[in-house]
Amino acid sequence: MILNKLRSINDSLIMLNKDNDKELEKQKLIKKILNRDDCFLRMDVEVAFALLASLQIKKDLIEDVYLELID
Amino acid sequence: MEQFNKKNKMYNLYIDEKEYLNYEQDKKVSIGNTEISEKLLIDLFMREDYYLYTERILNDEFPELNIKNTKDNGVVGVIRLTKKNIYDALKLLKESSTISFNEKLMTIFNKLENSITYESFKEKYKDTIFQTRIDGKIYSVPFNTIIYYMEMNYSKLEAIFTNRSVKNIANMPKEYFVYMIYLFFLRNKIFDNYLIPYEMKIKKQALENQKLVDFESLNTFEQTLDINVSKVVINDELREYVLSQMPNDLNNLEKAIYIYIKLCRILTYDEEFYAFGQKGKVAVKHENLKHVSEISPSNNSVVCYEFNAIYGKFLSELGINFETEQSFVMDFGGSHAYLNFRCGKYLVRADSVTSIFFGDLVASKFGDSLDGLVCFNKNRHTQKEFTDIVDDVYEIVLREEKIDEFNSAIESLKLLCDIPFMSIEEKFSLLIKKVKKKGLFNMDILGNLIKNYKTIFSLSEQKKNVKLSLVRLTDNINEERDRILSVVFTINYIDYNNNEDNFYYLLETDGTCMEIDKNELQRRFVENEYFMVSDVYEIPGINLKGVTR
Repeated sequence: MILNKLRSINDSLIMLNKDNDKELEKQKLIKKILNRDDCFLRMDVEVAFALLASLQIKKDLIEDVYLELID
Repeated sequence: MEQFNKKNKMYNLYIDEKEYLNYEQDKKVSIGNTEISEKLLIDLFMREDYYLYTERILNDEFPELNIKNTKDNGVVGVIRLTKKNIYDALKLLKESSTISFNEKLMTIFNKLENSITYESFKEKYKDTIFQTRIDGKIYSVPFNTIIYYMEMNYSKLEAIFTNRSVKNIANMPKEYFVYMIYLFFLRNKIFDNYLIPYEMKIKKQALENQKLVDFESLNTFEQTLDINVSKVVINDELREYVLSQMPNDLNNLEKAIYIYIKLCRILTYDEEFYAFGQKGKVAVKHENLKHVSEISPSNNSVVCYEFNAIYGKFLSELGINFETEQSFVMDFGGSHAYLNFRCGKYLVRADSVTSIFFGDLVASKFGDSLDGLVCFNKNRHTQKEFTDIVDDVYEIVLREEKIDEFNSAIESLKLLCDIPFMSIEEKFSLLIKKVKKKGLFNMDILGNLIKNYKTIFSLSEQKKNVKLSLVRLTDNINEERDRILSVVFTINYIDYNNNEDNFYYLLETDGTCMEIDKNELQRRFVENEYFMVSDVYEIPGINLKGVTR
């Protein structure tokens, strides 16, 4: 399930950014959001794209990943 | 025995059961939906005791004669006759030579014929003034003013009545005036008693259907018919939750909608009550009005009639009258209750539990569309206005409720990220890309498409920039299927409701999306290549009046 993959990436980024307060705060917020299984159905598409970019999804893959998430 | 029923303006002739049955079993003359016994018809003119009554109808003293069958001091059957019914029946008998007309009958018939003409109708009422009470106040209008408008040609009348800048006619609000025209014809049974031109019948029909002007709410909900409203006490914490953030500039209707949505979002249906089929100890708790005052944001389980008690109390505080309705729906395991109320011209049904699992008590918590607030006016324009108001108020509530962790996380994330701008075109391409990925579409994929459309476009974009309309197409490929479903998108970068510069795209069944010219799209509907699915899926700028559904 693609959402679980995103959750793993998010966990890794939290670990990696322990010393980067700003990025850590962002990733912790993303963790709260990803807790909900239907999170991508409940946010604006613009926010979803920004969130995926924050999870370091490549720019040319973001559309496809998003479309799979709202399936 | 005679009696004039003042309230209903009917003239009653009571006859005994034996006579009544004789008429019932007699040979009948059919006129429209009415059947009259031939013998009764003759008796109405030939029997002196009957003719006393008939004459008063013929003289226009009363618009309707009710011949009532009495048995054991009660009325067990009624034959209703207007002057025109009597004329039509006599005419039929005369033309078919069923009975011979003696001199007396012939004189009466000729007199009757003259008295039901359009001219005699105008002559009878020409100097009269029609008076009636509307929402507690008395209004008057001269007959000449009524007839001036009703004799206007339909398109001119339509242009005046539907013109929003025309607020008053004959020194009263336009809605009141139109309502008075309607009441004048109804109460005097003009169409039952006179030969009225067909054109005027069309106008009367349009008034009756509230098509030109919506006056349906007038003289309704004049008081609250609920004995418990004064006994209901709303919990302070609940009141605080519902009202503390309510914007001051909302009007009464918007406040009523706002309160409904807030209640739906905080209260929840008592699953125990549902599970036990509204019986036992749990049911007793909900039958106690005192329990209503204990319902709070933290003690928020309710059943439909508790929701109504609380919402009704809020409505009465806003000065809005309401009625509680009961219905029996098996899904609820018993009786179900909801509220009807009137606010200005809007007649509203508020039912937070249209379904236990999908009603507004559930949907509102997820920001899903509401289906429990329904405007039941016949006028479609009023219904559309109401839906738009509900949507606007819903957005206000959703915007202000950022209390839960998820929403606050989203809001905080927006501050920490660069949120990209996405144009309508880009979003539309994204939606179409999704459809293409699926290939040939069926009902499931169509359902998914609608869900994706709602996810990708904001409510405001759905209402102004991109509209999804389901249509039926003739299936030219598969002969076994008559019609297939497809989708037309209307796109406008400013507002598609203005119908200017709209673009139309048709989704083909293989998932490809083609732009289609407005005139070509219109032609396909007119020539029955495309069919409308329902009014919800109207296509802005495309005239679908009279097209096949």
